Amino acid sequence: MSQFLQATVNGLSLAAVYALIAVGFVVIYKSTQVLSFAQPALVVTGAYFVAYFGFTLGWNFWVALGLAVLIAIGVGLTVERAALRPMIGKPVFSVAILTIGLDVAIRTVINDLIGVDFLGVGSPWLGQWDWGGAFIRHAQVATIVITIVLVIAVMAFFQYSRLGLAMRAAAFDQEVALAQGISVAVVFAVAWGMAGGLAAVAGMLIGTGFAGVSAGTAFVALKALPAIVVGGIDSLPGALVGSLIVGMAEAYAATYQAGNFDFLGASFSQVVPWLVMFVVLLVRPYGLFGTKEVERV
Amino acid sequence: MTTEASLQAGVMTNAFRLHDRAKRNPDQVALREKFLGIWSDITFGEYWDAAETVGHALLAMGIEPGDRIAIHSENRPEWLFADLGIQAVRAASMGLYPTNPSAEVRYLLENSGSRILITEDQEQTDKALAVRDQLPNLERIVYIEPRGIRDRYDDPILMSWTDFLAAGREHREAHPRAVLEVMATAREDDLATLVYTSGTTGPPKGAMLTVKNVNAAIEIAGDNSGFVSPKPDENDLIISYLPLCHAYERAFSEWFGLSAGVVVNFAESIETIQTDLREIQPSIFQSVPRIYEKMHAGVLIRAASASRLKKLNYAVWIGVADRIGKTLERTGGVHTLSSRLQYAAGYVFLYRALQERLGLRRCRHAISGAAPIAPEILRFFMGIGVPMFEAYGMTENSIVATTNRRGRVKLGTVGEAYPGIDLRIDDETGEILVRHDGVFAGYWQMDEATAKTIDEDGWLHTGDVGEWVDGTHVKIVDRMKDIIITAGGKNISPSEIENTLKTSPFVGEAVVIGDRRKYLTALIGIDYDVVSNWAQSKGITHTTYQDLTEKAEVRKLIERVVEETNAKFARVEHLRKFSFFTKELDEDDGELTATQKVKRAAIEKRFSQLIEGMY
Amino acid sequence: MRGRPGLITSYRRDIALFRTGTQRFWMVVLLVVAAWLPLWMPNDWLVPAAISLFAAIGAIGLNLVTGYAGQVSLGHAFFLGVGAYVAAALSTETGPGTRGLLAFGFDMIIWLPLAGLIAALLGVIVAPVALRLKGLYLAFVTLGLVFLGTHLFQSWKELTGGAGVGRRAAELNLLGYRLDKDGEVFGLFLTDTQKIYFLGFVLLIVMALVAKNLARSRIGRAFAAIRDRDIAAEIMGIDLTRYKVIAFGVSSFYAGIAGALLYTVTGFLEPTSFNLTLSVFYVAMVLIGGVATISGSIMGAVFVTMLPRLIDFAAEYLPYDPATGPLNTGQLEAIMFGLLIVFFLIFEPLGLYGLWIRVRNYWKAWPFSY
Repeated sequence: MSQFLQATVNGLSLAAVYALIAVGFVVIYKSTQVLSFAQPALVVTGAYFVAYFGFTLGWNFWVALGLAVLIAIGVGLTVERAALRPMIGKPVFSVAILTIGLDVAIRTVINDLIGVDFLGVGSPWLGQWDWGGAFIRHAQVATIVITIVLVIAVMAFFQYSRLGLAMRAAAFDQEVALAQGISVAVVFAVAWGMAGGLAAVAGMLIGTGFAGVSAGTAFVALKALPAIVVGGIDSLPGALVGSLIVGMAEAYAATYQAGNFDFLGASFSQVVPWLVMFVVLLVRPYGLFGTKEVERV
Repeated sequence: MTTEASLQAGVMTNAFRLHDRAKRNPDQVALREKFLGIWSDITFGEYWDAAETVGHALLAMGIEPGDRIAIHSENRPEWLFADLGIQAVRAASMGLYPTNPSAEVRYLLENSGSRILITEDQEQTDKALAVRDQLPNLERIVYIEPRGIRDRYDDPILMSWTDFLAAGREHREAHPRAVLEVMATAREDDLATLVYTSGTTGPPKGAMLTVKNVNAAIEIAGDNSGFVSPKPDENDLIISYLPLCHAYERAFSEWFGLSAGVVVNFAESIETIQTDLREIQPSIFQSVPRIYEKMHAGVLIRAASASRLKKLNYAVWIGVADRIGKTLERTGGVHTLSSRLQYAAGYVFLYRALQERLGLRRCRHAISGAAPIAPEILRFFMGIGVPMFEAYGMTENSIVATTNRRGRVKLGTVGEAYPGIDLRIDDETGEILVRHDGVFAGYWQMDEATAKTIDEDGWLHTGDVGEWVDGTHVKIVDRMKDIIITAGGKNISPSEIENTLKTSPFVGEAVVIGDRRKYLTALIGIDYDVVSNWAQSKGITHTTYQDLTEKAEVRKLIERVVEETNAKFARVEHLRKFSFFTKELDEDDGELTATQKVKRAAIEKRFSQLIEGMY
Repeated sequence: MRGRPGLITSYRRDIALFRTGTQRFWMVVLLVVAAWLPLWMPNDWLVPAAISLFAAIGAIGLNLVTGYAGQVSLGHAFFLGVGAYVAAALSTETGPGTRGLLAFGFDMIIWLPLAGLIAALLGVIVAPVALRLKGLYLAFVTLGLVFLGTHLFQSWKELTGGAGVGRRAAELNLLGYRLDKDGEVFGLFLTDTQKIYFLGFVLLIVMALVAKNLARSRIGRAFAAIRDRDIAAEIMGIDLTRYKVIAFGVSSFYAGIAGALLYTVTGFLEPTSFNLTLSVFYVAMVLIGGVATISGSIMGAVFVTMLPRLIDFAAEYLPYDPATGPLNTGQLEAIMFGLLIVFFLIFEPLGLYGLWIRVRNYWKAWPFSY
């Protein structure tokens, strides 16, 4: 039982990290029609700078986090302005590949800065609770709480703020939104900025949860991609549900595969998100909550 | 001329020429037509087979020698199949311009008394159907393209080309040698074709060209290297795009095509001529001044909008070309060592590419005929290495009169009379008179008009005023009836001034006015596309043709052209004023003939207010 | 018609490989130069050059499925890996070097086609997924394929030797003749790399010709129709299932062949190398070279594969030395890839081939600009 509880908590915190990345991803996709493979780069950027300010320089953690978030937002905005604005109107796939190019370039730079060692992030959540054999780390709880708070904030932003409304309008129909006086440039910038900020927080959380920031941080971020697809790439609730499914599946697999299904190979849990994605896509080609594309010839 | 049938005949005809070629080299390519993006070959064997089938079909319908059959179509292989089939059974073809409106169609069919009409498509069929009640002689309309007709029209007069050929094949089954037998009875005075003059003044007149006329044209202009030297052969390519109902195009696409075996390539349409030319790269190019003017204007415009380096390159080498052109003008078309060297250098940088773009890179002989051309245009083409020759001829003399010859070119003249023909200039009127076997048999059922044109001694009165240059070359002053006599009593040729105006790419049409008036004026039509482009580049917004002509900048632009023109002429020939046509001239409005020649009288009447405004 | 390149009298001529004598001439010149290069090239240039020839085969494969047929694949690395391991397992003989590894010791005449065929088989299995999914979702699935593949390669130690250990690449033993050992060929002494270069050279010509012919045939036209609008293509009577299966099958076959030979130059295989980055490299080759062009695929592959060597070369003349500076050659290379992809997508979506077309059009339009 404690094993199950442990796995569940692990899964929830994993799902929380995926959710943060996935929300950023869906926001970008919905408001700019860009499928951003550059999210992992934003995640490691955020993670690295939290580590740099909070650990290497030893500044206050919250200050470090704030600065890192700002930097990630800056990177997001720069990317959007410099590389994606000229691509408006180009085929979706070209733009997606372009983000891969950006991801490779940015990640290489950050990886070089990180070096070969794991960097701590200097987070204040170091202890753990023992719940009858299940060890719940403070960091895990913090991850879940922070994610819930941020997701609610994002939802509220879209629901109640004027800008959020504008972005929803732009997502619904860009041209009509433009005609209504909504600045598409602002919408694009906010989307990328928001995704950058969320990715930075996610990066920090990965760093706290996985014993430090390393080049491998990006691979955790990559696993958010199947989560998005499972939910359907254009649905915010879908992104949350997808993250939950993928995160839990991965955590349970990690807990129960060893000893039971060894033939599947070590660290099989790492590919579980992709397998879940395969299965879901075969049943529902547009994910669980994705909008089915209506094609006109 | 060795086949059994032709020996029996004694008279050579186009049908025999085709038959002989088909028997000798059935697989040789005769025609090419662009079909679904591919230039597909038609061999002489297929050509003859189609023509013979048409002949059989006509026999099956009871066509007798001397009957007239009309063809109303753009240039296409079926045009020639039909024409050759018609000639094979000793009937006469009569071509209509594809642009002819319904009323004109009625007049031409009625006047010629055509029994059968072959139409290209629904458009042309409709024109004839609209007036068929007034055409008692018309028995059948054969349509080539079934689209829009098949299953929709049930008029019994209609027959599809496929059914028409099927009838021919059936007849051939029953009477395999029927067409050959009729061919063998051909006589020299058989009417081969009826060519209607475009009629700048009165209603069109049908010029009767006989087998003898056609043979004479082939012998004088074709076989004796009159037109093209060395004479055309099977390695030559021409492009067929001028209206086939006109004698000029017919002579090249049909007469010379059969006599010399030149490969005839059908352009898709007159609009695509530039592309077709580039693809075909004809070795002989027969054209009219309007086309050359357009080509020249196109070069100027595209050069002006080229990138900086290309512009510089163009400017340098076109300057050299101008010098080469002037040298050639002086020498009569023979390169000097210096001009040859300059040309060789320019060839690398500009002329080769330019020729390629124009589609004249393989062109060994370009002809300008049918209307006077400005010497500037000729010089331009000669300078960039296109051997260009102005020739003179008309339907009434089977287009055979004079031509410039290699090495003996004189710009501004139409060249020398062909060897073996009689040509003189009337001492009193200055009219050019011609006499040879190509001179037509007369106008169809218009004896009065015929008598005015051919005198008792057989001289053809061309209606053109000419003068001798250096005793050998003929210079055309103008159409006799167009000559302007000013109030001061001075004789002025308007066409020379008009052509000089038209060398500017901005001027599309020009009509000089001044008969019995104190000074000369001009009505000018701008080339809408060119001027519109120019206006756009200058940021002048405009909507229609008329709106554009009302812009002060456009007026200034044309004023400069007029000033430049005036500088080339004597004082009495200066244009004092000019007005713009308020619309683009159009055939349907009766302002242009089917060959795009200006109908002066109609224009002077329609625009009389404009004209009076200038005096 | 000599001297009249525009006068096309048959469809055969319209889709001819070389429409003019000039094109044929320059192709021959190019081939002669390419055949002559390895005879004097120093080894540090020859090794990447030889690799680039095999990479070109792989790039052509990716271009067939992604460029021509429009089926976005990020899973090319997986098929390369399949080819590489099938070849390695089939070719190497059991011995002390292959303790505990699958090894069969077949001749190249057997393992090379098999490497392609098994990869093709897997491609055909993936293809139905492409029928159900479109565009971005398909990209995700192929991406997932790479992760599953990497996991498979790392876990199946009998085949791959496992992560960090690896195994020797395929042995080039063609009908008993060793292509991966120095030796004389037709009286000419060639090093092993030179021999491999020529193997790649010949194979690339054959594979490129086959691909080009495929592209200009009925199949190629069907691919293009599916890429441009699959529903419209279906209405025209193109069997989507059939052609998508063909596209994935052929593409994977090319990847299998390429994978089988790619690592013979360096002689070593490591399972983690068949990762997303490798896929991205191939996508980069296609994008940089030119989408839906065979010659572009080759240009792209050569460019991408030679890039590290070029960076090293350039570094000798630049104030920046990758050996001591903060970014080493590999990192510079990765950054340049990323930026090149971005650059080409924004400024020259047709890739190197597009640049070539631009230059050609400049001269074609001479003496005008249009």
